[in-house]
Amino acid sequence: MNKFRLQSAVFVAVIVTMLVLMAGLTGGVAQALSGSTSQAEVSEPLHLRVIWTEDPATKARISWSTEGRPAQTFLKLIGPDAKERKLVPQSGLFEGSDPELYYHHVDVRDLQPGTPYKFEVICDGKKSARLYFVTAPGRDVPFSLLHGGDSRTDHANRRKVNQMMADLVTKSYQNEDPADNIIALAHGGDFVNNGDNLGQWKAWLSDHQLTIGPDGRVLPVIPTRGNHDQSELFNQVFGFPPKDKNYYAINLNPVVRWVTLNTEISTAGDQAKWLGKELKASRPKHRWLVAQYHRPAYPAVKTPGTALQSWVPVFEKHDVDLVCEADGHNIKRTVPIRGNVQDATGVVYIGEGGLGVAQRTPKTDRWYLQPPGMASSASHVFQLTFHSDRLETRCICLDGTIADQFELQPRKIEKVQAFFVSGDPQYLAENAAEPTKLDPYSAEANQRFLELLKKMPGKSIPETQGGGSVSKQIKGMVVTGDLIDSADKSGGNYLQMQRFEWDRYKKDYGLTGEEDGLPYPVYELHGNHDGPQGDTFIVEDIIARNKTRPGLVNVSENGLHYSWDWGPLHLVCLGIFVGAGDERREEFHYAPRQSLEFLKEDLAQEVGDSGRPVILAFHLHPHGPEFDWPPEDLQAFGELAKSYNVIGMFHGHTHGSPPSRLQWRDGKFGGDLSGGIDLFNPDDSGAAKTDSKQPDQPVGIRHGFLYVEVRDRPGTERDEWVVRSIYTDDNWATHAWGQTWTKAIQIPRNHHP
Amino acid sequence: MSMLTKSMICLRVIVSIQCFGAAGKYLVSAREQESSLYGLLFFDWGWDESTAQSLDDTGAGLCLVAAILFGLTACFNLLGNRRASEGLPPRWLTWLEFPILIFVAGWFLTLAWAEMMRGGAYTEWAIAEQAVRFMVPLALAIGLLVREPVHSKRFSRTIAWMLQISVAATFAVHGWKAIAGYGPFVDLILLSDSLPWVSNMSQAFAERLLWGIGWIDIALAALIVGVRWRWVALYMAFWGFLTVTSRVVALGLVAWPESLIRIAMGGAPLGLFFLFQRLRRVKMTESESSSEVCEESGV
Repeated sequence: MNKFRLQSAVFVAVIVTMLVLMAGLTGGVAQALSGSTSQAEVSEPLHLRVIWTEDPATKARISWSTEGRPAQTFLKLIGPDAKERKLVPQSGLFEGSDPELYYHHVDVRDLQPGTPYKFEVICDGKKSARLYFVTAPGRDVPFSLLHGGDSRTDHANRRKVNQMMADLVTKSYQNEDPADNIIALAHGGDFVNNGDNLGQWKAWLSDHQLTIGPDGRVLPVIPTRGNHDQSELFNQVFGFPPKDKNYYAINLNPVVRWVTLNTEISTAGDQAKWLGKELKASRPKHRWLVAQYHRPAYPAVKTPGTALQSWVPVFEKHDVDLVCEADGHNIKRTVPIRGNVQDATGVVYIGEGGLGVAQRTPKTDRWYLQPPGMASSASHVFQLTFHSDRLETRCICLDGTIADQFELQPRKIEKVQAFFVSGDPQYLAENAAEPTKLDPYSAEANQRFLELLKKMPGKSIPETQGGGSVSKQIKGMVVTGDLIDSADKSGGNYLQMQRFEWDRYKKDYGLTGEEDGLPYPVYELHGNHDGPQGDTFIVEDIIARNKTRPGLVNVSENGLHYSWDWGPLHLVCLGIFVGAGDERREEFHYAPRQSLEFLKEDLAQEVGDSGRPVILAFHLHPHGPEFDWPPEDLQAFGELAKSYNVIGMFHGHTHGSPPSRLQWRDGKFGGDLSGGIDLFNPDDSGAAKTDSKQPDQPVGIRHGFLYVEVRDRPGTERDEWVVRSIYTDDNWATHAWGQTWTKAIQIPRNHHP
Repeated sequence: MSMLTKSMICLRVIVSIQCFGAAGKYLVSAREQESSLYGLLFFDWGWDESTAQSLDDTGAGLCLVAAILFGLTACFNLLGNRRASEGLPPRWLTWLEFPILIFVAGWFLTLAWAEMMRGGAYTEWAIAEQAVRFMVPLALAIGLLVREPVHSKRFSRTIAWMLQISVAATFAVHGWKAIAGYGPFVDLILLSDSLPWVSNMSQAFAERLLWGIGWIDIALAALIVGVRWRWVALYMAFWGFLTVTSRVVALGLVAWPESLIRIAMGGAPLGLFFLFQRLRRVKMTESESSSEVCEESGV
């Protein structure tokens, strides 16, 4: 028995020892082999790619792979200055590597926008081909982008689509039209079928090389995680940090925001909050706002993902322009959707993946796929072309046919500065030693006019005048002089009349919008009826009012002229006319009170070379008699205005009914002088009075005023100002909308000097 | 009505509802979609789409038939047929039900397997996670074989074990996913913001909540296999039905197929509760009998 036990023990010991030795030998050999592989069999650089996940105008991630760990590998980057930068990558072993495959990522920074950068990769002396990529534009210029998803199973078609994309990119640069220039590929996810299978990623990375153009141009990728991309390999392939959430937003140019979301993690929690903040911040600054993610909210085949609950309300709240989806393996475009119904102001969803995957038959009976929506199936890629005035979308099939195309107009996401301009209320008191009332027609006109003004905010604008409604946030009222009637006269009862008229003006109009007058601030200037030499108590009172007038940013030394800002606008009130010197010169009628000097100083100080739009107001019309506006002053004024972005001028004085516009260019005035400065006559607003020859009849009962909107839209190319006239022929008993003048203007993004 | 009968009725109702959910999800609802089997055949195996679609529609159509049939037989049981009250449906019905139940079990097993084959987050556990969906019809099929009351105890134990294992598997995988903070589970909580105690809940809190729920699920899975407490089964039934309801609470009534297809998560433990009750009574009866025998024999 003991002998048997001993034999057994020896036998077991021998077996165990042999196993241990075998394991050790096997491991050692394996280790030796592994070591020799990494030392001796490092491949040339593979899978070169450029990835955009951060500001692509100045940054890019350049990545490559190697079979085996190289002793030394680096990126050689050659910028526009022809200087070489040697950059060492962050490297690591791909998860599940067998044989070993290493990733290498270089995050390149401080690049110049819209600039080609050549690069090559060196691995233990082995060089890659010299390739190049171009950073995203840093200016508001048109461009194109490819979007597609699902490249996971149909490898033959994946390679064909990749080749097609390379051809599209190459062709896009072979013409003079910058709009079709394709800058990148936004991939909607499901790169591979089994996200934790490195072999499949290797195949995708190899196939992705087919997107490189014949001239070596690399098409940057903006990646999205799909449901089949589940593993850390996704992060390793695209250089995201481990366990990254994979949602981010980038500017493709200063007015195109591209938001990438991740449907494979919680959509409703932190990601939805981030999305809300991102869209709230980016909507006002960007003309185009586009989102991409994998699992559709409005699928053509499957059931909706939780994006429907988590993100769609956020898209609608912030007026996203277009949403790119994937996952369904078909082609679709939805009708514009808001509140889960078709709505012309809604969001359009496109998709759903055809970069190399079998295509499903879509369920075309779904309500959101009805015309103008559509659905079909074919291997495809979308080309999105971002213009200043439209977003063109084309779905290009593998056979070259266009499965769908449509255009979106930029949303009217705009900041509007709205205000009124009137002139010559010319309050006239009864001719009495102690006036107690206004002339009945003057009283009637001004009372009715002010009542109308108070009712204007929110009032509908006729479709013939462009539709919409008058802004409820009126910035203020500019009054272009001749506030009262009698201050150009003296003797008799005139002094008492002047005081009565002026008091009445101040009471009716108010100043800050807080008094009983108009519910917004008033910005008036003096006209010839208020003091032709600028020396009356009215002018003194205007100077006094300037001390509490809201928002002034600059006041002349004499306190009479002033300027203020409304958003990007800079506005200047310049008194009776724009001229040099303080007093009236020989042979001329009026004293300029140094308005030209003030304007020069003010524009230099407050506008500078910012390019911000300027609006000027004064009383006399510049195309009037020479004895009113001295020619040398007018010329100097014209030259000064030309040096700045003066979008318009308002004058008074003429009472020319109805309100009208001239244009001023190179010393000439005309109805349509292209490129000229707009010069508006708002008509008088209340200069009616009793006819001295027929005391029972009025004179001057035709009046008018202007409603002005300056529209600052995302970007710089679609800003405009719209001036509409409102007039009356019966002393404001009735009124009508007159003309609408619209003009493109430029408001720079950073409008402060 | 015996506990076995109650259990069988419960399983019939569950199979009916689950099959109706499957028919809704894959065939008749406004948001009907293709199953994972279609995806496997068409995308991964390269079958012709129309063949894959036909197979998919056939499976879903048969589920609809099963839903109607088992709905009717459950009503038949509930209406108090004498044989049914003993847990013994008419023999002709057994012949009809048995193959359909085998098909239903096979169909749901196939769907789970196809999901596992297609890949994705946690899909390697799809068969375990969806175990109740194919084990409930299988258990019911076994139950149909009970022809004589003398066999019912043995069958009850067999059925109980089938349900115990499947419920434990489903709860364990759900628990594991919850502990890992599985995104869709987090969203089910956060999107139920119509409930006052959910509104303004942070994702971090929802994830902590899920972590706790996950460990409770795993503990329940262990208990249901290890100790066979009927109150554990009843709690699991309550929790299962709650999670089933969460789909429509979070995603709206339009998600009804998603809820119905998961009904076995609450239904299987409820069936178990009835079975545990029965086994307990049988045990009590047996112990009373044996003590009587002992007394009579003078032991």
